[in-house]
Amino acid sequence: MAIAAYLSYGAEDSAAARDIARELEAHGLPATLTAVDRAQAILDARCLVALISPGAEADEAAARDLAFAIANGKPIVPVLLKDVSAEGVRPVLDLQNRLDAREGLSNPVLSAIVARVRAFAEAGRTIAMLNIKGGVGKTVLAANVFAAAHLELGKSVCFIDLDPQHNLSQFFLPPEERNRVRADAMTIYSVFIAKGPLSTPRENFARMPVQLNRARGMGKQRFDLVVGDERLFEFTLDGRTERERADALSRFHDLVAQLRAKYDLVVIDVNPCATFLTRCAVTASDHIVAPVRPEKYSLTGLNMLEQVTRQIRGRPLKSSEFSVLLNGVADRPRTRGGYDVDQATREEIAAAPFFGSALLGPAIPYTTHLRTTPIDRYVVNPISLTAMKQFAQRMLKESLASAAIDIIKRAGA
Amino acid sequence: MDEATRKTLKSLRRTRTPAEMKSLFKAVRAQSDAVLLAEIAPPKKRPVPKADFATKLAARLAVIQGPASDKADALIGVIEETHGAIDIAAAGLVPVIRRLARRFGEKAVAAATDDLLARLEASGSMRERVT
Ligand SMILES: Nc1ncnc2c1ncn2[C@@H]1O[C@H](COP(=O)(O)OP(=O)(O)OP(=O)(O)O)[C@@H](O)[C@H]1O
Ligand SMILES: [Mg+2]
Repeated sequence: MAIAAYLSYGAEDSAAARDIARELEAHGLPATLTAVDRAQAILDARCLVALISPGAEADEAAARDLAFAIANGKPIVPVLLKDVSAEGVRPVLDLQNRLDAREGLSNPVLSAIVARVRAFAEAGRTIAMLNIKGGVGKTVLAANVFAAAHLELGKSVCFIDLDPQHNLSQFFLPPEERNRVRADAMTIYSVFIAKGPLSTPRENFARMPVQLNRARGMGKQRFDLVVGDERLFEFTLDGRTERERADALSRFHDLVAQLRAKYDLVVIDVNPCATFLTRCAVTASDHIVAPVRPEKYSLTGLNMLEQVTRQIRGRPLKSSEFSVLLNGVADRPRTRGGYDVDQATREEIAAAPFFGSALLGPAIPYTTHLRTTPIDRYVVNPISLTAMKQFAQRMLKESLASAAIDIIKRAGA
Repeated sequence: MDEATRKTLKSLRRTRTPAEMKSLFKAVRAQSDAVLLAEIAPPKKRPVPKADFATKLAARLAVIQGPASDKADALIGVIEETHGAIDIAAAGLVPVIRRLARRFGEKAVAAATDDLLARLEASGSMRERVT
C-alpha cells in the first residue's frame, strides 16, 4: 500500500509521534515520520496527522506542513496533545473534530487515530473538471464520462456542482426540484455559508447529495449530486470577507472529505476563469481533467490552467496530476488545404513539455448527442439524460468509457 | 406496339437472359390481367392493432424523456410501494404493463400511472425559463 499518513509534530512530541507511527504500521498503514523533502512526503501520503501542542505551534516547519497540506487538499487528522491558546490554534484546522490525547495516548485514542487514517487511506479520489476557458465541455463531459464510469465500470460517483451557473444541476434536475433542494438549505451554497439559517451544519454534509440514478435495486453503487446554486457568485466577487472565505474553504474541504469516505469518485464541476471557487476545487482535488476543444484559443486556456493551479498549490506541478481530454473532434479528418485541425491540436499538445504526457488517447467526438438542447419533458431517472443511457451510439459510448478508464487510472482510483 | 411498351421490354432485356424473357412471355399469355396484377401487388399493410389498455397507458407515459425500461421501472416502483417487491424485470413498457395488469388488475395499474404522472407534475419538467 502507498503511504497512509504523514506525521507532523514539534520536536518535543517526537516520542508520541513514534508511538502513533508504530501503531499505524502494526495495522498495515505505513506512516512517514521524517523526510528530507517534506512537501513531497506530504503529497505521497493519503493524509496528514497533526500533533497539536504549544511546542508544535511554535515549530515553523510543522506550521509549513499544515499550510502545504491544506493548499494541496490533503485531509488532516488533528490530535490534541496539550492545550494551546485559543487564537493561536490554526483557524484552518477543524478542532471540533480533533482527537483528544491530553490524558496520554491511550488505546482508545490510538484506535481512533488508526480508524481515521484508514478511512482516508481507503477513501475515493477527487477529480476536478477544470479549464480557464469557458464552454469547452467541462459540464457535459463531467456528466457523460462519469456516467460511463458508473454504468460500465461500476464506480460510485458523487458530483459537486461548484459553478454559480449550476449547469450540471440543470443537466440532471428540473427547476422545481432544484428549488426544493435550495429551500431546504441543501445546495452547495449552504456549505459555503458558515452561519445562520442559510447554512447547513457539517454533520448534515453527508446527506446533501441527491440521487441521480433512481433505478430500483440500485444497491450501494450510487450516482449522486450536491446541487449547485447561483448565489455562489457571491464568492466569486469581492463581497465576502476574508474570514467568511476561510470558513467556506474549510467547510468545503470537510464536505469533500466526508463524500470521499462514501464514494469511489468525487467529481467537482468548476466555473471557468480563476476565482476563489477555483481555489476551493484545486485544493480539494487529487486530479484535474481539462477538456480542450480543437481550436486556436484552447491552448491559452491550457497554459493558464497550469499557471493558476501552480499558484494555488504553491509548488511546481507534475503532468501526472492532469488529464487533457480532447473534446468535439470530427469523426473524419477535417482537412483544409491538407491541414487537419484535430490532428494539429493533438500534435501541438502531445509535443508540449508539460501537457504532452497528460493528453489522453481517447477523444470525444462532436455529436448532436452531447448538445444540450432544451426539452419540455419529464424525467424519471436523471442518469438517463446521459448519452450512455439515451442513445445507441456505439462510437460515442466507447469513447466515453475509454476516457473514463484512463482518467480513473491516472487519478489512482 | 407503342413506344412505352417497347421501352419496358428493352429495359427487361438488360437484366434478363433470353430464357427468362421467354418464360415471362409464356406466363403473360397464359394468365388473365387480374391474376398477373394480384401476383405482383405490394404486400398488404398489417392492420394497426386496436389501442388496448397497455398501449394507451404507454402513450400517456410518452411525456417522459428516456428509455422505455426507465418508465417501466418507475411504474413498477410505484406499485411496489403498496404491494411489496415485484419480480418483473423492467424491459419493454407495453409488455410490462400487460404483466402488471394481469397480476394486479387494470384498475391498480391505471391508478399507479396517474400517481406517477402526478408526482412528475409536482417535480416539474426539464424546461428552463428566463425571467
Ligand atoms: N462533443 C460535443 N459535441 C456536441 N456538443 C458539445 C460537445 N461538447 C460540448 N458540447 C456543447 O457545448 C456547450 C458547452 O459545453 P459545456 O457547458 O459542457 O461547457 P463548459 O466548459 O462546462 O462551459 P462553462 O465554462 O460555461 O462551464 C453545451 O451546449 C454542450 O452541449
Ligand atoms: Mg460548465
